[in-house]
Amino acid sequence: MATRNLTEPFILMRNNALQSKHIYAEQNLSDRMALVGPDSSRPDSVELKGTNTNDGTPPAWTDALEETQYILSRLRIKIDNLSELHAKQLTRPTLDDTSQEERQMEQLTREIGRAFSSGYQQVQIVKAAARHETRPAERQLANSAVLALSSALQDLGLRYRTSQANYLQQINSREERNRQYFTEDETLLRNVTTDSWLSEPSYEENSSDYWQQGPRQQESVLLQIDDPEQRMRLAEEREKEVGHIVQSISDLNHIFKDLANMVQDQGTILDRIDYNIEQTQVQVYEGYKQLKKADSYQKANRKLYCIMVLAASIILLSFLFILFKT
Amino acid sequence: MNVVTALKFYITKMTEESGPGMKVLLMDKQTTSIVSLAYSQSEILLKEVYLFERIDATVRSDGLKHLKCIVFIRPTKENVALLCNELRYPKYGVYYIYFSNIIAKADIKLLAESDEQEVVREVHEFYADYLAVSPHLFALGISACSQGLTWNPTHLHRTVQGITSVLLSLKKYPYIRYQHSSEMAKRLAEKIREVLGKESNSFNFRQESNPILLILDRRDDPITPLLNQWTYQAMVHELLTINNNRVDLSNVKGISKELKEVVLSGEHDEFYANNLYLNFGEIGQTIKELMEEFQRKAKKHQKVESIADMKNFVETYPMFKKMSGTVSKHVTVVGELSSLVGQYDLLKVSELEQELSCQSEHSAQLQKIKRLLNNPRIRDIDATRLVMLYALHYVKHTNNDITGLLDMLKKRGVPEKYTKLIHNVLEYSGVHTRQSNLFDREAVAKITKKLFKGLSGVDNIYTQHTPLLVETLEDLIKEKLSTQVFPYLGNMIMSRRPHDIIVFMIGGTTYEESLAVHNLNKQNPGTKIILGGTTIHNFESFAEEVQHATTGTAPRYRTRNN
Repeated sequence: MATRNLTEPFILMRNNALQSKHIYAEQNLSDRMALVGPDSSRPDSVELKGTNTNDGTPPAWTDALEETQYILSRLRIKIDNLSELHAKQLTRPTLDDTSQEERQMEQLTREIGRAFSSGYQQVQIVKAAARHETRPAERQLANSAVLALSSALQDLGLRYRTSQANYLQQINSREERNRQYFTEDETLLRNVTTDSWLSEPSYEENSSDYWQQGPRQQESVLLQIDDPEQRMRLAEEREKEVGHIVQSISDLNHIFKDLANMVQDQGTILDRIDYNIEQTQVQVYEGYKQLKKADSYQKANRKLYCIMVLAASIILLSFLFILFKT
Repeated sequence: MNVVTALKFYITKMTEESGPGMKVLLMDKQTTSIVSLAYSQSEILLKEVYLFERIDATVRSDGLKHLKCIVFIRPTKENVALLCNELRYPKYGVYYIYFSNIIAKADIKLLAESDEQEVVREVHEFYADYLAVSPHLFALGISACSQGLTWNPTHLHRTVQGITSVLLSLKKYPYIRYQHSSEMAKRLAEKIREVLGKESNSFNFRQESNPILLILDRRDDPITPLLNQWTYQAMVHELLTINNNRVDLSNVKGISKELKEVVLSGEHDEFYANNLYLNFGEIGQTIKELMEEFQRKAKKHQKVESIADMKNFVETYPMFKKMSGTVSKHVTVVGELSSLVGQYDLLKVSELEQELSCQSEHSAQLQKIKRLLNNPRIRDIDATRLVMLYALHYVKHTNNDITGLLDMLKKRGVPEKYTKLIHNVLEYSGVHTRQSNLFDREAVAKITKKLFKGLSGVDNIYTQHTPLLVETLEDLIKEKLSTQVFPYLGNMIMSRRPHDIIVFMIGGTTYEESLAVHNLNKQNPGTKIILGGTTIHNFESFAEEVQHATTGTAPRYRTRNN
């Protein structure tokens, strides 16, 4: 995969060209030209520069774009961290001294969830900006940016989900294995784990499990607590918890569905660079054709033709009228 | 030795060298195809390339100064002029210029003089100047490269550029062998050596693998592109025409809007990558499996009741979406293929084609051809195909009936464009000058092979034919290739076994040969073969090639046969 760098000779040649132009210019200028010429041309160039800078300001949504890119890079790191933690958790012999790592994990999942939704919001900002953009090139640019960002977000989301699912699966299988050996301790062990899970509002990993294990856990918990009031309070708390989980899941669900809709055309003809370029050219050509048509319509404007004919006949008739009357 | 990864490397490097920030990619017609084959739009969007422009577009969008512009063009005169114009009135902030081939110093000077506002940051040569169709197959997109049986000068130039860029991108400084009987092969070989000599600095690689460049001429094997094909990729090309991995289905009846044109690329479609070399029957089977899997998944998707379902749905939704796209695409394509096969009796035609190309029973085959020519369901081009094959096979046979068959074709109302081909192809193949007959080449080896075949029986009557290329390459790998027929250029002679082989077919290669090379690569793990051609033929394009090649030559056969 050989390459050749021609930048140096190019810059050398460019400098030479600029220099020779200057020398050439200096030689040829009379005093007046030397003094006045540049001055008279300066306003022009200043103006030109002015429009250039006006052109050069990046659109407002660039901030959102950069923000999203930053979020994405942070997300990547966080997800890596999380899977690392997962791995550590899995290799550890028991689940007894959980607190620190679990809390860390919990915090990470929460942060990741938040990052996803804020990233999504930023994408929405860019998308809205794209809709308001007047120039076609700018609009295209913004649309492309939205596409790129959403597919990156989706990729990360997928990675996050698979890592979560794997972790959950492995934990479960390990517990299965454990259960064989520690049938007696089952309830105790379960209580410990469920407690720690309940304390984290991470909807990801416990959601499905929660539903499967819920009734049984509740039973065991209920057996331990006699006080009806406390029971009520617990139930309410739990309901709130469940409501929270459902809410966040459906939120995320919505986000990912939306993202998937945005990037669905991977692998189709719409994802071909040459096809898209051809398409824009076809559009330009169509526009040109429409313009031409409009032009021809304008030229063959019947009304105007009619008016002209009528006006001519009126003039002629009035002329005749005058002629014959006098 | 993988042309697709080589191209991807170049394009990735191009997008990364300019650092972060939004970018626009400015290309010409050919580099657009080159980039599109290697990268999909969604992939390149992730590299922050958000806009694509053609440098030769008539109406260009207005300037966006906050963008970085990556220019990737071929170093032609027109492109340089257009780029000079662009630099004089820059539309974008900074420019990173990449030429797809070796550019002349004078052109760089022109550019340097136009760059008055100093917007250019980098100028590079990235040798991505060919269409990488599959990992072992490249093409140059030149149809009808010869005129009057010699090179068309512009096409010769393009071919030399294409091959040198392949060599540079793979970092190979090869020994060159060419087909002695072909004047075009010799000229091309000499031109390439000239370039290699001139640019010896660029070709200064460490050599361990003994690369060899073998230049062949399509004229030596005009049979392969005439045959109907039965492997997926080749079949799609023959019946529906693949153009830079795009297939146009717009003339299929009742097709939905998003399937009017589909992409068949091994890079982006796993199912296609796994199945492009399977034959038609097997494809039917795998499509069925794919369908079933899809249905199973679709059923799963129908019920989204609990939160667990919801979660599952979200996880698998993108994959599901992608899969549904793949399924509908391949089902449409295969459905269209099978309807075409049924409609035009292609099984019968192909059987006879294979017999014509592999066996010699003159009278029986003549009868069969006549019968098929009277069959109204056969397409005109298939009828022409059969007569062409017959003519190529039996032109030296004492009582051949080419004239009679031609009359039959004319009676059928076959357009003159096709009937002329019969003589043209004879002219093209140069049967009169050929020492060895294409149909009974290497008589002894063939007979033993036939005996073996007779013992084991033919396993598939539709794929009996093996391209001549296979034999040539097998000989080359075993170091048995005659140095008289395929001499080395210059007086270097390679003593060791070649490990990297680049074969170039002047006048276009075919997907059948691509499959053969793929198999050879699998059978010989020590050697890697890359196949290239001026283009990739099916019957239609080959007919054009033959017609172009033979215009302006004396019609020798017409007089003799009439």
